[in-house]
Amino acid sequence: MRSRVISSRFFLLFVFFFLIMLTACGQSGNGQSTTTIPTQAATPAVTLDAYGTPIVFPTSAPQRIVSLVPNISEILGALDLQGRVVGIDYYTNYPANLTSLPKVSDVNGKYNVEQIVALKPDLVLSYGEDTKQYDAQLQNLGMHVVDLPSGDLSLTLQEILTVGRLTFTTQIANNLVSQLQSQINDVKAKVAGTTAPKVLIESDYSTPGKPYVNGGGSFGDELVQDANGINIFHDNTTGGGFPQVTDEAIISANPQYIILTEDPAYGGDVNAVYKRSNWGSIDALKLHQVYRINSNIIGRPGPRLVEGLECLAQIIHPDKFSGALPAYCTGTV
Amino acid sequence: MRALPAPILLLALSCLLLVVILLAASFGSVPIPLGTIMQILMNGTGLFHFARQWDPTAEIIVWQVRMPVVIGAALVGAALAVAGVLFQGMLRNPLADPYLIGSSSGAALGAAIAFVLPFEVVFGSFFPLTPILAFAGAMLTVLLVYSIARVGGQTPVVTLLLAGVVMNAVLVAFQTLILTLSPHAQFGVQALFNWLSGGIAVTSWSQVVIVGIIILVGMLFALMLSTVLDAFGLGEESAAHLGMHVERYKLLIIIVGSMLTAAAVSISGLIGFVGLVTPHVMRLILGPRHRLLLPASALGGAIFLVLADLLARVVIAPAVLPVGVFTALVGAPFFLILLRNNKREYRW
Amino acid sequence: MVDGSERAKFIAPILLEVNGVTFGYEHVPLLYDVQLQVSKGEMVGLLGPNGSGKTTLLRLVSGVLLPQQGKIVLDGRNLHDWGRRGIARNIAVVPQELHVPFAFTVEQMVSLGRTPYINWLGSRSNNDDNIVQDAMSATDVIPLARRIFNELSGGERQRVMVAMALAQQPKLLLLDEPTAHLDIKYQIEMLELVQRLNRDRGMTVIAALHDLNLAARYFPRLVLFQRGIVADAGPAQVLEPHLLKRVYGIDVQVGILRGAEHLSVLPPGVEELEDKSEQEPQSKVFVMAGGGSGERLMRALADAHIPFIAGALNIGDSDHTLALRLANQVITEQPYSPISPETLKHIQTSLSNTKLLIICPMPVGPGNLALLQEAYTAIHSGKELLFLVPVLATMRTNNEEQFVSDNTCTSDELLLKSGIANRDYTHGEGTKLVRDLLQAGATVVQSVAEAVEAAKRVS
Repeated sequence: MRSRVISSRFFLLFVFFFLIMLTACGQSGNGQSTTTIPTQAATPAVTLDAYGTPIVFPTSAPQRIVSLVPNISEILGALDLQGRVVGIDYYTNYPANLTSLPKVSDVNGKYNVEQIVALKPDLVLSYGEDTKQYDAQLQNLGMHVVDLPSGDLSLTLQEILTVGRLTFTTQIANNLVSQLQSQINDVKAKVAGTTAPKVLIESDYSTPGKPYVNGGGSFGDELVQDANGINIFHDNTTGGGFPQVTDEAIISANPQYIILTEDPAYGGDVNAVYKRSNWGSIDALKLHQVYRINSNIIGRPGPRLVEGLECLAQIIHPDKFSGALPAYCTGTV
Repeated sequence: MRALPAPILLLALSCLLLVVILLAASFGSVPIPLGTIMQILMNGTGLFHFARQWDPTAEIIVWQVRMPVVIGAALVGAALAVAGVLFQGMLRNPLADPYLIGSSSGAALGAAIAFVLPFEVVFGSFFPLTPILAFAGAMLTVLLVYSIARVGGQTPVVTLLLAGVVMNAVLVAFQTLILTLSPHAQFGVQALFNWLSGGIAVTSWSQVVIVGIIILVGMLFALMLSTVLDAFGLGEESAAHLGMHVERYKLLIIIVGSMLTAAAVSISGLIGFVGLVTPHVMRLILGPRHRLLLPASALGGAIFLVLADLLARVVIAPAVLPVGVFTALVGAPFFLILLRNNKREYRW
Repeated sequence: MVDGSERAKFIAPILLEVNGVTFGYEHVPLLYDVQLQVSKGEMVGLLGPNGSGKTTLLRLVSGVLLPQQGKIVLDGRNLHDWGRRGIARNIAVVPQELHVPFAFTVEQMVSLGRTPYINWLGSRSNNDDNIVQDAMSATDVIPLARRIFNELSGGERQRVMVAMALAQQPKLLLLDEPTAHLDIKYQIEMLELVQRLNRDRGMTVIAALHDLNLAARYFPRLVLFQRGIVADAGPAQVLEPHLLKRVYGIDVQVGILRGAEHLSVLPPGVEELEDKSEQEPQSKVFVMAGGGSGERLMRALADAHIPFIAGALNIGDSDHTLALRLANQVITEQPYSPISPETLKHIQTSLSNTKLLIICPMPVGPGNLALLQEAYTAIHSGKELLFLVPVLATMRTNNEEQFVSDNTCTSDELLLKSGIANRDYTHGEGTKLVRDLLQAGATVVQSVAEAVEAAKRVS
């Protein structure tokens, strides 16, 4: 007598429903919990470090992570890793739950190698060759150092995924990046078709008459593009993205929006701009369209860049956004 | 003190140096007990085998992080002090320091170039770029200054000094230009500021060994020049009358002095005062004969800088102050006190 | 004439020989054709005003400077063949002053004198220490051994410097104005020391001095220097008022003070000044020369004891150096300079007192054309003018010695004889003047003897 454990029809039906469930789960998007099997990442992660060598991914989840630069700290915070971070740099100031950790660098950008060693990290993260003087030394002292390459907004999103892979938080990273991506798409959709106003993003006015601004290659420039604005210094790619220009150039370019990014204590005072000599002829001043945005959300390569994009878009296309400008746009942290 | 025979004095200074090195190795941002440190160090010499009762990271910290810095400080201090003796003796000028004829601005320019270049190392991580360019910059500048000052087979001291001043100004202008125009301007400026303030920037033993060899060779040459320096003290003509080839020795002194300065500066940035004050102090204590003055200044300079570096590391731990600040804060008042205590017009 | 024929002949071998040395910076010669021989054990004083080149001469001898012409021989060997160290072991220099910025003790300073003998390690042997002690005792500085050199008095410092020089065990000691900055007590002390060293150790000494009296007292041989050797003899011959006047530019009187043994040089008394013009024999003969053309004539005139005025001559011109020795009065012009208005006036004044003007076959250029012009004025005021013919021409007409002052020759032939054409660098101006002078009655003499005869006739 032939007895099968499962009849072939039932088997086929079972397989069919299984497949449907798989695809259904695979399509699931934002906000899903991590109870399901890890899904494919939306965009491929970065696998080469800032020096062009392949990144060595750890085999187990690192428990003692040291971040050498503020933007990595923000990424770590966004990935909910504050419990596993043991050291940060002097300039990390967000999120708040990281700021009480031991600082391994000082105000001059000098890193305390001894202290880093003493923290016994199993993963040291840095970005953009900012710590190139220390990377090799720390590596030679036996630490696992990963210095991620610098780039634009989309590369930043990819790097969030890389950090997720490095820290074994791939699911959170995927979700975060998906969410950020959809926020970006949202903004772009809202401002599509509007006329692009001329925008100046200023970084520093401590030398009167010769300010530093966001030029081509900086995040500010990219965000202005994405927010459908025109950065009046888009074509100036000197100074590594932060060229020094003259008042004349600004006055003749005549932007309709001026965005300050300095800390209010160090020149980021909107009222002071109205008092600048010869600036009175600029449209932005005439139309009272001088604003200040927290430099950390349009300069730091991390998740908050999207916040910066939203603030910027709302400032230059106020009619496309409802509600007041969120408080975090003008924060200082 | 002058009555004590030279070997005893030198031995005393050497012992003091060892004590100071031990002291410096025992302080840092991470507290490690002195006993542990002593055991670690003695184990390291290979002559002792203490059972390891301490955390392995302590050993890494002591041997890989602290000791290179401390030994580096000792070498830099010795080199700068000896270079100071050489230049003060050749120029017969109490205000001469090792940087006078251009090595400082040359090194700074080399470092500035290194900071803005896109690559970091030459031949792999064995030869980081900054020290190499700083060394090359210092040596080339000095040789350039010498060849400018040399007229008709002679190099008058005044011309040498003036050419050095002019070259310093020109190179600083170049340095500003490079930093302004480079795309890594902000990083370059910060890095250069850190470098100029002075601090022992060694990251591995290999750097210490290479620089150490250059410095030890330089000091050996300097010692061989002791008679020459004594004779130079009488004036160039009198030195010639005593049978010296004055112009040849001047060039040799400049080369050796600059080699020492360049090697020191390549790993420490610009640390002032060591080369100016140490020879003075040693002369006041031990007398002007160079045969004793040179080794004594080397030891004295090493002690001075190791202590300064130690203070720079612990005073506001875990932050690190620039060592140059300390050498000035310590060196200047000390020097002024010595000046005031000499009742007659200052004879050094 | 003052030369070395009267100085004491030393039997001792020659230690130093300066042979025809010329030296200058750029193109201006500071010393010209210096000829000097110093025997072992001699004590020579080098005299001369500031800027006369004494110090330069010492620096040439010590090997610091290289002669541009001529050579210096030390103990039979060319000076520079000895090498720096070799020179230092034979010659020691005591400078005027030593500014030492280090606080060396006296003993350390003296032991620096051993530098030419010690190796690069700087270690001193017992022998070295003994020599140092000996040097210190010879100069009596042992009590000062531990004192700091800079804290000593001037005289003490000078003694230490001599000790340092002695430690070099030199054969020749050079002193550059050793008494310049010292009080009289220390000046005497210094020279007594040097004299002692010369007597007791046979040390050969050459000292540049500015004090003529001390030089007369301590140095048996004096060399008077003015960019070349003017005199080289004992004090009695060298310290001669006319000579001193010419070199130093001031009137002096020389004599032996009551109760003293040695000559003293003093400013003239009031009576002396008034008598001066009577005492000095008036020169009736004026010689124009230059470039060596006047050598034979001047020697001949001096031999014949005929006083003459020579001018205008440039410093550095060999005729100038000779004239300083031989002429009664020399009108001097700066080296390579054209004749200045002051010099011209001087020439005019001197010419007015003379009766005979002899022009030697000197090259005539724009710088000394004025001389011929003055000659023109002179001949028209009745002076006799002779052109001395160049040596070459004289030799050609050897058979015709009597031919010379024959005014029946045509002026063209005389012009040819004078040889001016070969020496005219003024594009014909000079030749024209000579022609005029010949027409005005100047004569051409072919031998020095003739010229001397003419001079005798007017003196």
